[in-house]
Amino acid sequence: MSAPPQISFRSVAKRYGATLALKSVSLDIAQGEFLALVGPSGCGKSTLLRILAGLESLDDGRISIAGQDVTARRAADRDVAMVFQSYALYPHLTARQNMAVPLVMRRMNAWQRLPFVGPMMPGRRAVDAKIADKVGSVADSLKIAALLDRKPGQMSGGQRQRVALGRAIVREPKAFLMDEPLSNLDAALRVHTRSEIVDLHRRLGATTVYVTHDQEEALSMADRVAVMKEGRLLQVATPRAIYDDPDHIEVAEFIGSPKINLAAADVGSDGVARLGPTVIADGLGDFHGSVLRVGFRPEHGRIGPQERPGDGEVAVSFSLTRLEFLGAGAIAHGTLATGESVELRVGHDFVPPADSRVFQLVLPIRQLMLFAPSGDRLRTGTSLAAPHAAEAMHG
Amino acid sequence: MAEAGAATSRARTSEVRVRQEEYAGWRLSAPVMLLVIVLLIAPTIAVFGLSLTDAELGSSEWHFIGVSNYSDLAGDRTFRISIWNTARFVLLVAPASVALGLGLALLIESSVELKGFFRSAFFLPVVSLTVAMASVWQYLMHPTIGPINQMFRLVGLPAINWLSSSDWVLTGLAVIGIWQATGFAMVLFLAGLTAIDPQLYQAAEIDGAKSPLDRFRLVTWPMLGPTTLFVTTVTMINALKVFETVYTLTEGGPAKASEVLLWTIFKQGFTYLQIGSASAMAVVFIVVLLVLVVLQTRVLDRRVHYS
Amino acid sequence: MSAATHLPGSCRICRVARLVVLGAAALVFLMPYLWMLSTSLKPQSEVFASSLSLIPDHWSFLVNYGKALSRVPMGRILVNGTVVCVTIVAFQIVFALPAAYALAKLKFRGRELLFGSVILGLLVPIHALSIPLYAAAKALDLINTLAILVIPFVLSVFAIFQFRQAIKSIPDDLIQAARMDGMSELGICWRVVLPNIWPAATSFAVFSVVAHWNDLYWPSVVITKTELATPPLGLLFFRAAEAGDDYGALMAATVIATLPLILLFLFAQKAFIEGVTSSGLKG
Repeated sequence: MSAPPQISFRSVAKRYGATLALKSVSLDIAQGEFLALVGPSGCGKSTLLRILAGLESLDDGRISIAGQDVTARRAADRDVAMVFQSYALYPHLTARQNMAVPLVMRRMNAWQRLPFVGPMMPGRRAVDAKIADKVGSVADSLKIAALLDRKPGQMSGGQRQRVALGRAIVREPKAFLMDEPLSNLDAALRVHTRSEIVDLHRRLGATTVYVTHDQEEALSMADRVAVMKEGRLLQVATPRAIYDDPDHIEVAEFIGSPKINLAAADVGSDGVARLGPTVIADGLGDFHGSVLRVGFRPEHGRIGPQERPGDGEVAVSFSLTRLEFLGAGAIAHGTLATGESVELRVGHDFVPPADSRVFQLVLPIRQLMLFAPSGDRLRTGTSLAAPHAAEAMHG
Repeated sequence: MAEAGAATSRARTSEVRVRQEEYAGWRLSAPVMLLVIVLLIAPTIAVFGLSLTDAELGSSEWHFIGVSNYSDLAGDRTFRISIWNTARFVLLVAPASVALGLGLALLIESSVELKGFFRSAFFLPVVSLTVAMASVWQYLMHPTIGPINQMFRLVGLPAINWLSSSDWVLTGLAVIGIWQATGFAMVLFLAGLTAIDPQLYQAAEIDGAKSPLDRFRLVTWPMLGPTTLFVTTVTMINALKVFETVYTLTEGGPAKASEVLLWTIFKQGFTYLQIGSASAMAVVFIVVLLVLVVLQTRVLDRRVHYS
Repeated sequence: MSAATHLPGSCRICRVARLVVLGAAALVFLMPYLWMLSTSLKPQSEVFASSLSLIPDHWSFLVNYGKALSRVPMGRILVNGTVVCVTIVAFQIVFALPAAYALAKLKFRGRELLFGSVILGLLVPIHALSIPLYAAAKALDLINTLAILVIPFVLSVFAIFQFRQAIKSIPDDLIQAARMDGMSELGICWRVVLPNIWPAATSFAVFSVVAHWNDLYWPSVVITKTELATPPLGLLFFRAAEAGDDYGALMAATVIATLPLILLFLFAQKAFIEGVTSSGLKG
């Protein structure tokens, strides 16, 4: 990356009493980028966002926005806009007034904002007109012009959400911060609003930091995804790389639904890891005697009574316990010969024969991911296992 | 066939259920219904009825005299003074204790240090025996030996006859009233403040409301609307019922300067035994309370709730 | 989070200023208590010496408190207050709970009417009804009895109202389940409903005790005998018996009459504040 980052965290740490909520987080976000912070609850993602907004103090590290160090600046002076989980609209103000607040606070002086006498102050009318214009055009672009004279109490959840977005947009801030903005919407509306926010981001081109606990939301919306756990960044990468090429077993487990399947692989004295009888990786002399974990995504295996492994494939025995039909496809629940329970995506046509519940599961070796006992991804010495991953590493 | 049978039996069960519920409802509330009639409805009707008579305590003879008790009240100098004093007392105590209560609540809530201590300190007068604390205030306000006047003298102010001059007595009583009502308003405001969504303050900060005054105007004051209305009404009603301090300290004096509504009713009924005209006063008292409450619930409530 | 949150760098001066202002205000509010205690320990001469010192030069504890306890039967008066308050609260809850349950969860004809009269009762204070109540008490020869201090208050419309609100939030399923288990409606009241609205019940009890311990109006209407007085009335009798300005003894008496409730308050501050807050009205 050659352009300077729009947002930059440098070794940011935060303590709550004795617990470390953030452990030295460093992260750069490019101008115009949509970054999703994702992780299980309590991982520190919201804390990181609120520290960026200036709503919480940090114990160590620095934060800069648009090249300026804002660590010591209060939220009002950081020129960022935030969309809150509960929308945080002012209930006594109409949608129009809610959207105007950030402009009123920034463009009018204290005299002009006075009740009763404010409207008589010099220059107030010109400011009023400009604000009304801006609010009107943003409302048009969000298709909420008809709601402008309603109060939040008279709107649906989706409508409030748009007004909250509008309040953030009118300011043309340096960055948009969104704290789980879709979690109070029902499922159908959530999916719809997801693509609306992505469109909006494309249109405005504004740097956006989006906090969510929903990995699907992160994968589908963001340019890059930052996965957090226990106050640390586990991996920051494109959605595709996060899914296909996770750095750590915890990233692999958090991303993807159904979850990634994990099986044990012994490393022999020859430094070769085997799944069942089949060699899946070599050059692992350092791990002699320890048990590695092999991960594969539910969609990466084939099962059938007649399946046989081809070149670069490995077969393990799989006994089906339950078939969960989902309409377009199905999920086969079962156990491997080694005892681990796994879930596999199978096609709509898959119908298990009545006489047999035991199948061959065939996996392409290049789609297996190998994890060290520490949880770190093993890429070195796995020439057999993941040629494309090794490429990605060097490229 | 079977279906129709099931439907009738279901209807019958639900009918039985309704009847059982009706019976249970009556059984459980019967004692209270009886008490409501004996202790509430009957006395209320009796007050209205008595106010139309010339009944006196201890005399069995009484006559229906229509509304002449009420027309007499309009011309009764003591009653007019009493109404005027009560109104002045309410207007001294209610705004001051609401404003002080709000100010203290905002200050207490603005940080965490000694929160519990301050809350208890300001609340203590609310739970203290009024008659006892009135006696303490009498000493504090004593014209010669009272510490307040001694402090006044120290800083060169003239001593004030707080409770024994007709110019000052209502103010003196109002000071005690404010002292007692402030903590009460404060805890109600504290409850109202903690109910405000903290995200609103954060949104205000991000929207650029930098000064505490901006945040107060944008969030606190509008969100406290219902609380403020409630606190104001309740404080006014409580001030309207001022009685203990008057009875203990001034007995309406000097020269009727602290004659207030409940004291006048009490004296008219239980000292002068004129229960007919005392009842008419009580009716006026009830009407004033009703007007206050109706004003709160019907008129102003709509303007402070936003959903 | 609070009204004054603005990070980073919450200003230190603001926090000090807050403590100074609140501290000064608290001193003013607590001043009567300080003088009450101090004066109750001072001999008469020092009270009249008009010094602003809070610490007495000569302690007069025994004299003052001795007078306070002997001029009127103070012990008896405190017992009266306790007995009256406890009896009132007990009756109020016993009557109010089943009615509140019926109003909240049962459908029966007359429910609206009953609820309407509860609301009426919230508006009409005892002061306004004291004349007919007194006449009735006199007719029944109940003047100068402890019973008449209790009887008008056994019905608390406020308890019914508050309990009804609390019971409404109990899920219907829980009550249905209790019925399935074979409990009677009265059994449900005491064994299912009461434990579920315990916070409302305790805060009501506290509110009621504060209100009735402090009430002067009704006792001064129906009680004329010192040995039947409640604490506020007892203090009035003490003041009448103690002509002149013996403030030392008077303050000793006020300490004795005030102390029980203040001690109770210091032990259960949260319940007190919740109780009085939820009521809105005193007395």
